[in-house]
Amino acid sequence: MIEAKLPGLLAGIVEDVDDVEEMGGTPLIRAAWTAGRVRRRRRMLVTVAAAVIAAGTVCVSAVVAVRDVGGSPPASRDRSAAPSVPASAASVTTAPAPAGESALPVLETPFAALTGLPMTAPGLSTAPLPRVAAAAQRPHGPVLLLAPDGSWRQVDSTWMTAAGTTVGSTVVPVLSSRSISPDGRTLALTVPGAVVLVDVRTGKARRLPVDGPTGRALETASWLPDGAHVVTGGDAGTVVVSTVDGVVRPATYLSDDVASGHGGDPVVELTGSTLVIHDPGSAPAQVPLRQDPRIKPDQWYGATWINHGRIARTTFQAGSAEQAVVVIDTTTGRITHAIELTYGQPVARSQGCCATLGWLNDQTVLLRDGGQLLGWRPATGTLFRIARLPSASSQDADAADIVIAMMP
Amino acid sequence: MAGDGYESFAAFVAARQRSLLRSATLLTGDSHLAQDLVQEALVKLAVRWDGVGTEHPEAYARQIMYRDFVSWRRRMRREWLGSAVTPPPVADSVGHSDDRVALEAALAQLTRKQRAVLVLRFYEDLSVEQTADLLRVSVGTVKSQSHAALSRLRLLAPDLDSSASTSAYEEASRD
Repeated sequence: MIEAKLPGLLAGIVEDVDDVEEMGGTPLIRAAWTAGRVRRRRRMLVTVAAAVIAAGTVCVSAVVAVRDVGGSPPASRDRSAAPSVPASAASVTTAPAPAGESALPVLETPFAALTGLPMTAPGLSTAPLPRVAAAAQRPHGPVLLLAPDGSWRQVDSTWMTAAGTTVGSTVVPVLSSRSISPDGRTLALTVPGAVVLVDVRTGKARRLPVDGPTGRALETASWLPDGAHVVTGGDAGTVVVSTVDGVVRPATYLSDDVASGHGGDPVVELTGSTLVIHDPGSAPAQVPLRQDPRIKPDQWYGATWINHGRIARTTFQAGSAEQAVVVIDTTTGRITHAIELTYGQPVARSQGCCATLGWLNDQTVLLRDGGQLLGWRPATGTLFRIARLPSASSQDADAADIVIAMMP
Repeated sequence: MAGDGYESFAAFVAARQRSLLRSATLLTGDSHLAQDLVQEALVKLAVRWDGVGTEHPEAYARQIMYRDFVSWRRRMRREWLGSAVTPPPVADSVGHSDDRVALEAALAQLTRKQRAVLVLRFYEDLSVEQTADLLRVSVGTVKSQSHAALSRLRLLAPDLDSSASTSAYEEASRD
């Protein structure tokens, strides 16, 4: 009978869940405690505010009732005169200074292997992968791929110029922060004048010309959530390239503004104070961002990521030395959660330190704080350490930093 | 910095975290989601620690956890990390019985409420009445959900219902 077996089988399933440090140990306990007490204080404040409002309502009602008894006409209801109550303020967390990040609980992911980013790795063409979890590239270095099992590969594919010359061995393809397709099976890299698609399951490359014969450098290549189109930019401005048939068409948005993510989400653009939803077959719909009493986006920074109707992106805030990673509900335009990352002294954090690198899963946003890869859970405000990112090669001290791409 | 009550809260979590995590793992079938579920329960427990800390903190934490699980609005599909990095059930089954692997796969096909009822009844060893009280549903609902869940398990994993097969638990019991 199945009922008789269930207790033992269920116990067997979780017999390996035996490490109390798995969830982060003491730092996590402290984080839960702190978050709980903050939530408690907020509730008390809300309760007090509600009591004050309720008391005020009772007083007003009493006055109106007295007037009604006196035969006076009821006062007109002027909604514009009603007090503005920020009923939908974002839940805001403040990140510790970088020096304090070593005390954060650790979130176990395969990305820990990024700390030991190798200089080279076995070629992808001889050792293909079922999918890729992350990719990294030092300035002018090879594109290195991190497999879900923690092993590394190197893109060694070759591809052709428009004239038919093989250049894969001499031209270094450029990795972008959103080069990995939603299914983790294809890389979209840029080379002068073209997007190169590399199938990690075979190591084979396909070149999709974008700018004709001009062969100029392209902007970053970013996957759309449908997994069938890549956004990039060239001489003719931003374009959308079909990875199915290679058709190139102009885009109305900038690469960084359009969101990448899992399949199932529409094309969403975050620009200025507006979300633009590009549903196929209908005109773009605009959703204005709601004003928040504390989080005031002034300028967006880096890539945009979407997960089930929630946008995550870094913003600089107006009038303060703050940058924040925010989560926005694309249906309402409301900033639901934010984590503030103060820059400048005394926290020793630079402006532009903190790019949003994607959604790890439904609960966790990946972000980079200087040399740290962090995980932020908006619902609880908890911040985790994931990996210490390597610095650029000493031979390229003046070059740009390492590019990290995560599977969306 | 932690404030009044932190020491007792920390001691409770250190002692019961593993147990809570095991229950959450059975509920969600995913280690990361399980951690989220436990963490959220701990945050809510911390909010009410002054009131429940000295009485029945574990019961309260479990109550939060199970109710949150059943009412989670967001889709709890296995995210790419869960499917690609955490070993999938088959890969995770090295050294485990076929029954266990089949059960894991079948549990994933149940509704959240069915899964919660099964875990409470057959893992936590709660009575029908206790399960109903914890989930804030009627006794009849627990019975019907339990019946539906077991029927579905028999359909999805018919070998589990075979008297010929032997569970790992029974094997261990004989050792």
